[in-house]
Amino acid sequence: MTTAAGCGNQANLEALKNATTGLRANDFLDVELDTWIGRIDGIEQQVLPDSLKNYQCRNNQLACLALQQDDFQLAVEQAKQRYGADRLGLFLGTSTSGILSTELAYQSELFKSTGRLPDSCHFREQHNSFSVAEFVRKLYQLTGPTQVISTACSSSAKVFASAARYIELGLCDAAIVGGVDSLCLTTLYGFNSLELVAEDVCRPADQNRNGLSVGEGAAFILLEKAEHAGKQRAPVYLRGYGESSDAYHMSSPHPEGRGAYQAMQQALESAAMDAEQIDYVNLHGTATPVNDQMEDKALAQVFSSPVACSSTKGWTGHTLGAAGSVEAVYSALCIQHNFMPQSLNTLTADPAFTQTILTPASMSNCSTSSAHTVVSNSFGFGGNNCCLIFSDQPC
Amino acid sequence: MLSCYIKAIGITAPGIKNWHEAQSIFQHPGTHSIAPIGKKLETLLPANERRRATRVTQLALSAAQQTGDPKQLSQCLQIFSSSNGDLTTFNQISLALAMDGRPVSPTRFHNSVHNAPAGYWSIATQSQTASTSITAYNDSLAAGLLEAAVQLNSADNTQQRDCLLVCYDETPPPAFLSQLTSPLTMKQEFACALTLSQNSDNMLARIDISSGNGMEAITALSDSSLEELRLSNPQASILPVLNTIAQQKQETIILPYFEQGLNVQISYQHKQ
Repeated sequence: MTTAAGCGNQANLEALKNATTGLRANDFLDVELDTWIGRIDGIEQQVLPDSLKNYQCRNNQLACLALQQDDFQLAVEQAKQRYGADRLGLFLGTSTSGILSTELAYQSELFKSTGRLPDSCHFREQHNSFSVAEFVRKLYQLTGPTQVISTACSSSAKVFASAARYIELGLCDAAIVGGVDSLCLTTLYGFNSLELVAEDVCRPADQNRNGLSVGEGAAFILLEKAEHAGKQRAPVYLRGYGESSDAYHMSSPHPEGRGAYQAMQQALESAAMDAEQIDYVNLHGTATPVNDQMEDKALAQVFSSPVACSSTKGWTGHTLGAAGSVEAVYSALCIQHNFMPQSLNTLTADPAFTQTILTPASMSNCSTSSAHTVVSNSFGFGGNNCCLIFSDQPC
Repeated sequence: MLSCYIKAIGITAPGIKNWHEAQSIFQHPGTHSIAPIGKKLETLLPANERRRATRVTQLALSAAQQTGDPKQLSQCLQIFSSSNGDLTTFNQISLALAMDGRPVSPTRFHNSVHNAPAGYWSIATQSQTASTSITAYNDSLAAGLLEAAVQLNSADNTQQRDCLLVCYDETPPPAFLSQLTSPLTMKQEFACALTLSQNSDNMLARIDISSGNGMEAITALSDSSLEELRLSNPQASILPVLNTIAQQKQETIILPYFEQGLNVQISYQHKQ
């Protein structure tokens, strides 16, 4: 995993434990927006293999950087040997893929004078939403079922559900799942046009929260059948998932959290769990006024007594299509290291909220801080919702 | 092998307005000619949403709404598959970003997400079921069919819901045209929709889906106009499946799906 908070799981774990944010005042290209961003250092230096050089774009460079962390390449090679390249599925989520390449191509003198895109522009290999999966597929010479799910900010949560079903039905034996989304002009100016971008760092669940910080990130996870877990140290189990639609508005969530509630309820049903068994909720928690409020309302319908929750977007910013997988890995780290992260940058939790937001003050009062079972929420444009449940115990 | 039943078919394509017309065309070779799809399409969208919805969304919804009554469709799982998404909107946003002040429209921004047609559809039908928007570039049609069959057959489909699959792609604006020539030229817009079920009542056909062996050729069409259409849009690779069903033939169609291809065996028997 790679986020603005760090390269690799260990660096992210330390950032979570030490409460050090990865956000910085916007310094992305020539973007003149007064905001904070979760930009990752070193993406531009990543060079893709010669045979895949047409795939060179910020999104695939970020994927390349993340794949080099945490011995993930070794895990892929071992999985290929164990299952065969044709039995290993690949399910990735992204929202904007390598759209930055097209955006920059449109700003070139060549395009402005002739309407032609420069030769360095390769729509299929860079901009198309399938690009990152095609890149990873070719990089590791995988031949199993492959697809990209692109449902905005729930994309790389939904890949877990999709891959789990493919494994259940025997279409593959294991799967690489994950999400990759990288900074681009479309999202920075787009969220700005919707007045959803904070000038300050994002402050999830804060009474004075006023918007999100756009981030970038990549996370890859090897999903295997539970019976193979014995070989792993501190295995984390995908216990359940729920997916729903708001059917309300393209860019605003349902104000009462109708779809968010349904996704969480379905996830609990699929995990055969009661709400009381959940120790911690990793919130979608974008820090926009509307999202955080509706998420709290949805949680109140699911949990009869307040549950401990926090958003980790104070570390990473909103990594959009990567958020589901990034926060799945954060959830796994919480389970493996038995802790709950605070809601970073939250100064005063919104007094209207019903749930236990983990601010430093509330955490010192918290008698229990063990996280055996974690809910991770992801909600996207188009009213697309996904909730995942992870646990240290199999079904 | 994954099995399911096709309950209804929707199609909005050059020279084919709907399944009824498609059946007649497939049954009478030589009667199809490629003619532009009209500007005005039926979408089920309320007027305010319809104004905001772009061409590719209207294209997708026009095929989707042919497959049943909205109330019944609102209960279906929703799978949307597109190779390229909203190319027109990408072009417009990229042009705006190259201007002074970079004036990106908020509506264009939300229209730019790959799941925009799915989002509009859920609003139009008030459908709160799971909605999945995917792409596998030129193999998106087969990937969509596979995802739909998987969702139908998974143990997580506890309510035995039917599944609506919508596959669509628009023609690219000029800047992208040169980029989208191989192996398919994106010459035509195309949308098709299938409602799929585990229940065989009133089925049009049964399909059994399995991975191909990579050795057999992708199924082509003998009618030259329909074959030209098949090669003009990634989603039009559904045409041989529709052709077989229209002629009530039993055969296996090979769809493009990575190295291996996807076998779709078409028959008309109810499950034992």
